Amino acid sequence: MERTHLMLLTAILVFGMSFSMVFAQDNNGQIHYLASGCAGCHGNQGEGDVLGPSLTTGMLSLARFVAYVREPTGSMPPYTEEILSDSILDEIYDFLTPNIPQQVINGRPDIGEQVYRSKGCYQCHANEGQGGAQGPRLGPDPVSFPRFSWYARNPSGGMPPYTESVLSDQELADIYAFLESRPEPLPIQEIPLLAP
Amino acid sequence: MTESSDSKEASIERRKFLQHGTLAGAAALIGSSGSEKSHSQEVSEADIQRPVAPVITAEDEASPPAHAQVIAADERAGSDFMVDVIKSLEFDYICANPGSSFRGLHESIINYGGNESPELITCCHEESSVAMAHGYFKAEGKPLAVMAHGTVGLQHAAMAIYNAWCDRVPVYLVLGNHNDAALRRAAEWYHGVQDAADMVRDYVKWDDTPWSLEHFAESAVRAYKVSMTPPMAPVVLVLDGHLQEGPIPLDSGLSIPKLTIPTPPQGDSGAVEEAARMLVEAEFPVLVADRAARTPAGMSLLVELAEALQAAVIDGGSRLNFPTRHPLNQTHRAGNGAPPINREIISQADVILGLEVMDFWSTVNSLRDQLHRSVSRVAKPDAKLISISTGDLYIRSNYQDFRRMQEVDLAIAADAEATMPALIEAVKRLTTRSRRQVFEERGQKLSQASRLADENARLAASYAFNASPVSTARLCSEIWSKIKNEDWSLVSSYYSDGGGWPRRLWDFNKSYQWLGHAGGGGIGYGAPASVGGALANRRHGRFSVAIQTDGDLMYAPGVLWTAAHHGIPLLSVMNNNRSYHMEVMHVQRMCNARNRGVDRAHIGNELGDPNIDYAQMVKGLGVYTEGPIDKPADLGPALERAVAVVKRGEPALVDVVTQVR
Repeated sequence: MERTHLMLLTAILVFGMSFSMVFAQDNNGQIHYLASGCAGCHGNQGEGDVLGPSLTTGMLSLARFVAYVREPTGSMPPYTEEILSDSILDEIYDFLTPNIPQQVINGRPDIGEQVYRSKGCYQCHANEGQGGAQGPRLGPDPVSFPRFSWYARNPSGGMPPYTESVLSDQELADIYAFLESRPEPLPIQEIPLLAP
Repeated sequence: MTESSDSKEASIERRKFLQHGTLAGAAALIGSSGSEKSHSQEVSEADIQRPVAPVITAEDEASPPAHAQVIAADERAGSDFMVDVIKSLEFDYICANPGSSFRGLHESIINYGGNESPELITCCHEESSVAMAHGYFKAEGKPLAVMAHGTVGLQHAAMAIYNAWCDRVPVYLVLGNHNDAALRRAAEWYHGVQDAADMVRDYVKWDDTPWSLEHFAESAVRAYKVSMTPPMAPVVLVLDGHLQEGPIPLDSGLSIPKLTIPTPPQGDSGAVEEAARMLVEAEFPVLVADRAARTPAGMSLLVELAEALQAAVIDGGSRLNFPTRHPLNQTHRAGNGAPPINREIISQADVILGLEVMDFWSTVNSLRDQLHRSVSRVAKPDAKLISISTGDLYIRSNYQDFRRMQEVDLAIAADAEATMPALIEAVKRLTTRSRRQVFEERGQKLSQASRLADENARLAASYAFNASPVSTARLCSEIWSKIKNEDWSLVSSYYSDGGGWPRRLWDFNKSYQWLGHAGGGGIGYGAPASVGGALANRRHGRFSVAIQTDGDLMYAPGVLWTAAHHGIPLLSVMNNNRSYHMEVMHVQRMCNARNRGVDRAHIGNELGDPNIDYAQMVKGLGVYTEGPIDKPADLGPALERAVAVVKRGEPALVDVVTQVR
């Protein structure tokens, strides 16, 4: 009986651990990022927002990132080690700075517009990349291309993953060029329909 | 007893007549046709004279007159008494697509009842009847009655009943059925059923098949009472055809029970005190409300509770629980996001109070819909959870709308709105001066976040503002500019919510301005629910507007004829993205999870080639229309013209070709 119990306990531990690892393997950093409230100011992908700057372009080194989180200036609340351990900050940093080599591919905005439609990006992110109920805004001023590319290949949440076999690097670059070329909107003050 | 024996005699007379008439008629028919054949060969063309129009068929001529062809002076129809009962329940309207199994009641409503209270609303589909009742209740707080065949009518109505069930909305269904097989006409066989309510019993709260008029009176009042007691839900009464059509003496002595709606259950006082203590002691409490505002008073109570605590509020949107521009409303996150839930706020909470939250699990957890589904906790692991819900008072087995079980620290099985006054009183009593100071500082931060979220929503709406097809943000901004000075009501925006824009850009502060969703996710709810909501708003002089999706309208567009026929003013603005767009995204997810690419994901999901001309289609139903409009500059003037039509008391539809979301 004891042996049976031991085997059962072992099985529970093993399966429980592998189950958790499935969750942890590709988006642990993002889970911590969201759970810690970072997105409230810096956006879901660290793209920056009204309250906080972008964390995906011109990112600090890990050491400076950790130092800033511990003792921030401005209105950001400090995160002590009791609240966010160094190891969790490491994972958040990994999420914000995916280790993808920068590739130089010339994107073609006109082709990108067609690919953006044919690959169904517009279904969630709307025709102009302005975002909607199902997906955030992608352009103009998209996140850096490495981050954009990394996310398309390894999305979190409900976005379907786009592997190289269904969307080539060239096509990704074309889409990126299309998003970069989207016009900036008029200032809100010049749109009477958006008056409060 | 007298009435019972009279009914029996009448039934026997009728049975004799039907048996005799059928056999004699059949014999006459055979004889007659054989005779005509033999003569036809002997007469010339010139001899043929046009026959006299018969007043009766040969078959019927062979039958003797009935013992009594019309109701006696000292009698009335059983269904007249049914109308007395229905009137006592103060129904304003009764919706129906006509059906012979309830013809007795139909006639009594329009003649005996004077077609007033209830007035019969002609519907083109039973699903429309029920969904109209669904929308009507959420605008008016009173149920509508619906008549339908016990078989084919109920089958049509089933999906809409399920929606109302999942949304905990009372709908009062009256089904016709001929129970006595010996007296059924031919059609009454395939329209007949042993147990009519069986088909929907899993998703109605109560049903009965009365065997007498006295039984009917009790069950009719009981059904109303049951349906209106939280948790509310649809109810079904099956009315026998002969019970409706048979005569009863004028002095039958039948009585109608007095209706008393039970007061909704209030939370246990000790548990309410404990909830108040947890909320007052919390550093960052979050109030999540879903179906909390059962009446207009519910919103005022939630505002009072939130302000007493200076706590963040998230409105789940099944009802309008909280004003969208209240500084404590944190429903929409500050970033480029849309509803339904602000997960950043949830992740900061140390106490979360769920008020009639249908899906508490998804409020504090997240399920990732990928090839290998995974879950993660959004709330802090040690966050304390409190629920106040009638969901704990009532649950059924088969259909799974009760959602995944969420562990909570304090569960109060009670109606949230009824419990809030005691909770507010306890919170105020337990709040010390030092806690009040903490609350005020918290409130100021939340107010700032709310203001930034509002500004950010307008900034997000400005992108692609002049694009064609029209962006959903532009669509909603244009509508808002036309209605904001009216006493308006968004009666439906199902199944897209206009990209989430109305609640981000419009100022919702009255309960009838937002009527929630379908409940069960059944498409085809939007159009009829909007007409039902507009029917309720008509008497109050409110301006009803709907954001109407194309896929939803194609289920049963005839309901817009009902709006035209009954003069129901409604501005229906289409969010026409020419697809079942939600399904496109689901198929895309499958395509990429299988590494096949999304190039063919539109197959089976798009509503193009040919594009449907909704303006033409709906114009044919007698409704003023504009469109199709795909250029944003054309939208404002078209809306203005349509608004003028609606202000005249008519429905109008503006077909706008939009971006997908």
